[in-house]
Amino acid sequence: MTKNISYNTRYLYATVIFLAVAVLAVVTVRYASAVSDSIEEIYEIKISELGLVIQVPRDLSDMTYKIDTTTFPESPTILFSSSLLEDSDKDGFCTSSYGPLGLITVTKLDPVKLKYAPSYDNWHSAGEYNLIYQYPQQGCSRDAKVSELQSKLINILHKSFVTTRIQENE
Amino acid sequence: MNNTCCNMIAYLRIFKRFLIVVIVVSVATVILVARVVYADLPQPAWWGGNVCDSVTNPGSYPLGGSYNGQLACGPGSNQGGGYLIVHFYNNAFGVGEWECVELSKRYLYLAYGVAPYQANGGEMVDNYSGDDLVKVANDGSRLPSPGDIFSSYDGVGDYWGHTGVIMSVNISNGNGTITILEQNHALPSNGVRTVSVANGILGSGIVGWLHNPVDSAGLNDIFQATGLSEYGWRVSYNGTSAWQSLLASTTTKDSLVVGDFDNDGKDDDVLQASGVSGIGWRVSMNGNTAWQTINGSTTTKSTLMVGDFNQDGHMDDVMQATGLSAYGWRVSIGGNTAWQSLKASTTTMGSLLLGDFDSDGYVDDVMQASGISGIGWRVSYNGTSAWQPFNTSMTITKDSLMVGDFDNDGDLDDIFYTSGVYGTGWKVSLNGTGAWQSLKDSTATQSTLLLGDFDSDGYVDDVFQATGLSEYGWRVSYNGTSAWQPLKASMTTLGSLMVGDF
Repeated sequence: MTKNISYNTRYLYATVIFLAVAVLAVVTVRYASAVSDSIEEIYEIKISELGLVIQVPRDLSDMTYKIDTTTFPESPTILFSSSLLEDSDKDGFCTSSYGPLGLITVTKLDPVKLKYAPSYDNWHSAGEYNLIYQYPQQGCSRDAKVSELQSKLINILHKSFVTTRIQENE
Repeated sequence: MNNTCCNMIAYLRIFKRFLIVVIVVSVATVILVARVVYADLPQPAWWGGNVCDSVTNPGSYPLGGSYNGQLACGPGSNQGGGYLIVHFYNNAFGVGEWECVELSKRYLYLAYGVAPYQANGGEMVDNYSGDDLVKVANDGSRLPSPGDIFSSYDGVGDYWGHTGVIMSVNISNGNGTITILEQNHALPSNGVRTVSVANGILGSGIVGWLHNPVDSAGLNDIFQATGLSEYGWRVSYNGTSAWQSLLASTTTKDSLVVGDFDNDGKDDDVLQASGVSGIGWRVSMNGNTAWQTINGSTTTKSTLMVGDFNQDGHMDDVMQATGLSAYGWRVSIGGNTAWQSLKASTTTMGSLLLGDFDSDGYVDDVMQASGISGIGWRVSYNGTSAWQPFNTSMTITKDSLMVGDFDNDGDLDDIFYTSGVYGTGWKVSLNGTGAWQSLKDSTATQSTLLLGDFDSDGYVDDVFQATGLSEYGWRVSYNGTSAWQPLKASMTTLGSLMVGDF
């Protein structure tokens, strides 16, 4: 009888310990996952031609751009896309030449005085320059999935826009 | 007695139900007819019945302005709005709500069936590649019309350009204003803005516009009402195609006028003013649908003309010049409303022409070619103003005159004259006020001629002739100046023909 009790007790302890470890493991994994989500990987995209840097999350780390100085020579314009978006579209309207993620104008002019004035969350200063973000005017594809991707990346770039700064000397 | 009483009650109940059914059906019919006759452009199907797509795109709202049933929506991306790309239909090019281009692309799609294409605001005009609309440069040679789509650049910092819909045109002698419907422009905005026009040039950086030839009565299809049951009504597209059947009808041209009674932007609806009580005025929409009675009037075609007196951009208002002082001039808006007085006048249709002599974009000015020295040509603007001197030196009467657009300014205000005599031939008085300018030296008179737009350049300046002679057939003189060009081998004369946009 004593033997039996002792055996059962040991069995009970083992079961409790096993369950405790299992619960601890689940909690740890979930916590680790949460921590990993909150610490987002940040990538810096250098626009060396204009001495600018913009910080973007991983989803936009393949960002592409094209600088246009023909339309507005003294205030260059940067048109944005991403490699993924460009590759997703077969008609060729999602390349950076069309600025499907929008554009940033780099100017010394006062945005408020510009006739085509953007709202305040679409511009900020970097050194002596004013940077103005403008959304693209359209979708770049007939494909709804490509449009969905474009919308998602536009919102990411819009949020990242405020991180644009002058590139420090290295 | 009890049975009789119960039967009576039962009958009354049945009658009551019958009455309710009759009322419901009548109301539904009236609503349906009203919707058919007055229909604006439909709300976009992709909005799912929600104003400015507010469910799919939360926070969206109408800015206040609208044109032809289409709302300007916001907030635009330059006004703090978010960004949602929508597709008007499966496999349509994506369009961003509420960019300026969204409004233009939406209007082009709903009004003219133009599929969305790749273009920012400044590119909307240049990138159009269809055949139905014409591109017009803002160089002073032509003026826009309501429903045209413009492109502009606002100057410094305006990388994408801007675009919108022209709502109204108020220009006289090249100077005045237009109003435009727009999205995502400077705040505050209700979506409507006035743009100045000087010497025929539109301001605010407008570089050009897309013009729908149909809306300025760019007419090029020949409609025939033979009166013969074996032919019925039929049409020759552009005056060149083989006859295409429209409707089995024996009604002849004598009681018919062509207009835009369903407000679809095409002058392809055939109204009959039967003069018969109980039939009244009725319309065959597109010339191929069964008659729909729209007015109980017994007035016949002989005292009627069709214009745009409510300035909604559609030729669907029926004006009557009775010659009776008790009635004067009056108009039935849309052809389906009660007479409204325009002007106390006893002048009859015999000496009147309708046109757009104040260049406001609407065919609602009444010109009289009195033939009286010292009075000459005079005009009543909008059909309501007192007579204004117009061209007092002209004594030529309506019989040899027609109204067209020979200076390609978008207004039906040039007076075409056929002398019937070699050496004087055809002439035009630009804007109805200019001195005669020679066109083609032809003896062809009005009895064989129609004015239309047979080169599809958007302007009513081509002279169509149906001679009835096999050696000539149907032919056209482009701009009223070119040598005759053959259209179709036909011996049909003008007696059964009208021009329209079928």
